[in-house]
Amino acid sequence: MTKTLTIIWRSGSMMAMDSNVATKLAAAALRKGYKVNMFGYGEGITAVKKGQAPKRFPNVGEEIEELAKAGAKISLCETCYAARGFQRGEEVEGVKIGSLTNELFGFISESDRLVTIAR
Amino acid sequence: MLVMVTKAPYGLEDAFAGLRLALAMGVNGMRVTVIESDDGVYNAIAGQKPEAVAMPSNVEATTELYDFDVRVFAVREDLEDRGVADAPLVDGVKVIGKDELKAILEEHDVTTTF
Amino acid sequence: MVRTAFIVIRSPQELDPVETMHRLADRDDSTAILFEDGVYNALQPKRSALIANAAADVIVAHDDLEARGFRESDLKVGKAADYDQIIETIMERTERTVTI
Repeated sequence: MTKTLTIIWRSGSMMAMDSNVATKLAAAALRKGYKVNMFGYGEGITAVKKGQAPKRFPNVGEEIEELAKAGAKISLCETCYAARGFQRGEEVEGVKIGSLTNELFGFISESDRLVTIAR
Repeated sequence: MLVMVTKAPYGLEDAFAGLRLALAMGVNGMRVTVIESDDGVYNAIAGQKPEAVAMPSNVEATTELYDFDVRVFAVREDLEDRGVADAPLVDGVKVIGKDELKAILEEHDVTTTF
Repeated sequence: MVRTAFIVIRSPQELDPVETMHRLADRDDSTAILFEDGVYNALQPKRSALIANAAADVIVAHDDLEARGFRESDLKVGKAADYDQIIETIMERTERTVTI
């Protein structure tokens, strides 16, 4: 049976490479045939904002959209999202605005491994 | 699930976020343990007044866990290092020695750190 | 099987991972995976000895090493790995992760 990896990431889109580490881990896991779940919590939710345009840095929003297209299940904490003024529809395609109680619980319940990327 | 809380309350949101995550797993019936270590042991200090900085209470976020059988431990050596080994602690928080942590980790398949 | 993979992303001067690793698992049950500034744990002479004493295997993200001006031959402990190898370690060669 295919193993599942869940990644919780809690660092934002910029100022640390943490979100990029999370996306690179997710991409590698998909390449190797694993199922992948990702959950953004706290500052991590900023990484899913649509329309990010960093001039010199990797575009983590686009990376997350690509991961969703490649089959990763991606969700985030709605309370964290609303707290920072984000509205539904501002997230990149394929991301589900969710909750700890529903999506994260479901992700962890079906996971073989959990990785947290945060500082 | 093992939730490691390593940050002090109120200056950073991490500890509160960790306690809420523990609650969300606990209400779903997941077996959850919280370990407060390093500066995380400051969350165990009784008498916190978060209203002084207009923050939600990490004490309430801790005691709410007990309704769902979430265990909360604080590491003795980290309390001692910070000079608060004799301070009154939040009701229900149990003090454990650092030599007990390996056995607790072994009880859990997944961990997360705040 | 090595049971616990410790994820380290900060430099040893910012956050020393070793005490937490010793507390949570025996050396033979521990792998350290170093990302970002965590790679300095395997480059500094004193720190590399400490992390080698806390983890039987030390795996260093190759791209983070290279980005910072170092090569695998500069490592005082452990080996460089790409993300596919790191995922293999997390999914198949260890049983859980702990982020420091």
